[in-house]
Amino acid sequence: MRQYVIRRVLTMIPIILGISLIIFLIFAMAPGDAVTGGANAHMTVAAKAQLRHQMHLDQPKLVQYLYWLKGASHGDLGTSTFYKKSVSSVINTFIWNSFYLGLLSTIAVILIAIPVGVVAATKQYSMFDSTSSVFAFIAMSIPDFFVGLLLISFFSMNLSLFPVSGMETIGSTATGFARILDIMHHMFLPFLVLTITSVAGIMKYMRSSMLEVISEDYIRTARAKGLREKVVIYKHALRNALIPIITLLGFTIPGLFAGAIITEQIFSWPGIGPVTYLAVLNRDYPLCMGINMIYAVLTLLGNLIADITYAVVDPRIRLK
Amino acid sequence: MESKLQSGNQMEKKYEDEVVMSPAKLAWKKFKKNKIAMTGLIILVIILLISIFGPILSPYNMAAIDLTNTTGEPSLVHLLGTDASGRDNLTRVMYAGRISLAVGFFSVLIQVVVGVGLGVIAGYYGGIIDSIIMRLVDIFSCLPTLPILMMIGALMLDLKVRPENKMYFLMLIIGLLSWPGLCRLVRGEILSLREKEYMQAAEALGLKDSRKMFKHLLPNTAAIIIVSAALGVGSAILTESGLSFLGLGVTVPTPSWGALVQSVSDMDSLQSYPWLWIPAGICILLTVVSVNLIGDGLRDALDPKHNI
Amino acid sequence: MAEYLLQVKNLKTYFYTDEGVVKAVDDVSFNIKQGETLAIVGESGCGKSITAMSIMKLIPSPPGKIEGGEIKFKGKDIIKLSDEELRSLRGNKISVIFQEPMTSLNPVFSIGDQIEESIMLHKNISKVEAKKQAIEMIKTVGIPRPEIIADSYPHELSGGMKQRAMIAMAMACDPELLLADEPTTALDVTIQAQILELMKALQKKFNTAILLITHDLGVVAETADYVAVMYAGKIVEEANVFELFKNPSHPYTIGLLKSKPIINKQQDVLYSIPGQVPSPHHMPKGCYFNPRCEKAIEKCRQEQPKLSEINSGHKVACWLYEKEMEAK
Repeated sequence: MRQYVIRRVLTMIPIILGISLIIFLIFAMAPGDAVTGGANAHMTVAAKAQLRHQMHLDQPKLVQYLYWLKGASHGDLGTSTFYKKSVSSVINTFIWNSFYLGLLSTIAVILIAIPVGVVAATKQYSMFDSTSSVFAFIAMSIPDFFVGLLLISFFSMNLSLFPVSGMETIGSTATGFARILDIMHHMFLPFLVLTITSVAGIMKYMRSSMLEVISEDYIRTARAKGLREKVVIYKHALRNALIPIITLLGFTIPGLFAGAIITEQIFSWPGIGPVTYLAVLNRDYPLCMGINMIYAVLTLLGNLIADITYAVVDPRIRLK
Repeated sequence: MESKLQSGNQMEKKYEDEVVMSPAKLAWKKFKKNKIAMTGLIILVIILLISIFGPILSPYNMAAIDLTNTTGEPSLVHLLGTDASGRDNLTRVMYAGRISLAVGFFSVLIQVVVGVGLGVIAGYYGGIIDSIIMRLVDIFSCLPTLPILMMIGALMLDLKVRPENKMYFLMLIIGLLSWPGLCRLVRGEILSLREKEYMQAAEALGLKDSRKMFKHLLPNTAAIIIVSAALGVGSAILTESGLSFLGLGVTVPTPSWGALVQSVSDMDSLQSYPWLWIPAGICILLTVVSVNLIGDGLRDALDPKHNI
Repeated sequence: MAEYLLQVKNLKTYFYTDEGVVKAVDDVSFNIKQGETLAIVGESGCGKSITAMSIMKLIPSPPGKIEGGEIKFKGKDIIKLSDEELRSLRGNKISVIFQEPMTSLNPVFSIGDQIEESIMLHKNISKVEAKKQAIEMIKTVGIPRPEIIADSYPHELSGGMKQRAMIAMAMACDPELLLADEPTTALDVTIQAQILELMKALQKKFNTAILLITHDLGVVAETADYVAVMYAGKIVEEANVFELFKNPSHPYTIGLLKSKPIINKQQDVLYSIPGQVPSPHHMPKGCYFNPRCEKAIEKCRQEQPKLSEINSGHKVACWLYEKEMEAK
């Protein structure tokens, strides 16, 4: 196992290099540079030139990339031109808010999608199956921003039940449990949006996995042994049907941190989403680069975890 | 002996009279029986027709500004009201359909060409070629879609790309970001089909590589490709609308449903002008639902195992 | 009455499909005595597997349904049993082994676990004791290193070993009737012989009756005491195994026997029964076999013959033997 992980991590390196190259190329095509931005309008031409030299912006693009690479290999992702702080500290400040939102949403998705999928499969064609199928189709087809706006319009504007934006009430001095409650209150609507848009996929996957397993020969064998139907479904079938779902969950790991740019933006949730949006709008290239690389690394880690989980959960798989 | 052969032949003739349908016809027949999928198809066709002919038949030009009648309520003159610049909302919503549908279909086309092409080559040749292509798949599949698209959108603004042309770049980039999934699927199928007996037969016949790939292996992966493509259209439409919502996709004056939902920029306007943003959102929902229904129906019709 | 372990009377199992009703088992009757082996033989699609599955009500229920008849096991009709009573029979008094050992074992549980599960379900013993019995059973079916195999997963075993494991699981509770649905079809010929040997040995040891489903007449000759030949959902001939091979009476049976190539005999053209099995949606009028039968007479095309005795213990459903049937 250790050897496998080490080997996988080693193969991740060229992939990360490739990704960084592609992203850097996109920046390279942009006119102007970090110093051209409005934030520096007050500087004299000489000062700008000096700043450029400091940031290596007067060098050819390839050299700039190598400077970035050198820094990145030491964990230094550069300095954000907008926040004027190191990229890593900016990311660190905001990404955990996204994580909390993502984590709660993912837990809710699991708790809803798996049981619903299983029951829909065991009671195929029933009213439950058809209804959940209808909901699933709508939930997976509706744009997240539309759900967000609808929820705001209804719950915040009409009913004034939930706040529209932010993570905490402005000027709040609440601490401890009261503070957590306040945060939860603010979190509820974006949490709903994320849950609604993600639950359908997993539910349908669970249903079809379950249906496939139930038609397998070994389920017939289990019945032939005289086992109760509940045992056949919830012990023999479910155990097999969950295997692809569990590995799928590994792939949702990057989404835990970074899946909700539009939703967070709509609700002004202080996560990495609005930061990404602002970074793009401000042409804050170091920050953009850093964020993209973090997403990419998270995706690779998610893949690795998914593969390892697969081997743990399915005795037929042995990692090579 | 003779009589036995004769009676045998008569038997064969009787069976030959039975109608034998090609897999494609069989699939279509099965699809037609699926009422839900057919509903999806009908809805999509209606949306398509309205998008194409609506703006032509409309008395308004989708870009015509009329500053005397901004954010007007729905009336008999303007069925869905007017937006902040006085443009007729209904015409813009109908026109936006063209954009979203075009981006949806063509980005999937690119996704299919690149993904299937590379997948077949990787699966068929194996070895070094396979490794290189799989590295490319790994790299592209780790690229975060929305952030990259956002950066491309900003780039297009900086490079002053004309609004009408932005659509084409979006098609290209969305397609280039989504091909890895299909590539992996196709490669997997090819790897398992490669060992089947009819491929060994093709080898024994001495067929050329390209012929084996395109006439024998590829048609058997058609089911996966078609289903994946249908579902990909929905995903592409959602991506494009999200991007346009953020202002980094298709921009004014070219309408896109995503941008139209955004046309009310502050929270109070949400309540005051529902006719400006809700219809566009519903259009996205209906289009993606119908595409997903069709995709699901295709999957049931094409997969021989799905006797559901 | 009491001497028969299993009495199947007029069993009808139909499948309701989009294209119509398929009478997979169309009025089938037979009996099995304790410790005896009855083989049901026929081509693919003749309904033999469905017959076996019907006995344990293992038919997928839509689209299949047992429409009529009786299945009496030790005097009690299985069709009328409650779910609970049926479950206490399954794996306990009546066991099944299936055709595909590759897919009939649950891939995520060890062999030992799966056998233990059967034992603990039907016997009131501790887990430790069940594990011991499971290992003992694995040994009995001739698998070496039984302790290690008990902890192994199905994918780690070869086809032959998997089938032995299935037999171990089926025999673990000492059943009185074993339904074997083409148990050797998916295996190599040499393994086939071993499995058949194993089954015969177990039958002797536990005095289990066996209902053997197969399309292979060689297997029938090796293992059966009594044979029933099925065609298109009906039994067309029934006899003691020696009698069947000596005096095959139904043209279909004769055709089957003729089709089997004989080693060391020079044959220029291999014989095969002309025509094909009828499509279940377009069954011919009269005797189902008549379109393919060389000896068909007019009556065959009009009326279906009933299975009747022509000799002691030898039954045939064929108009050619009308006189013999009437004599009886």
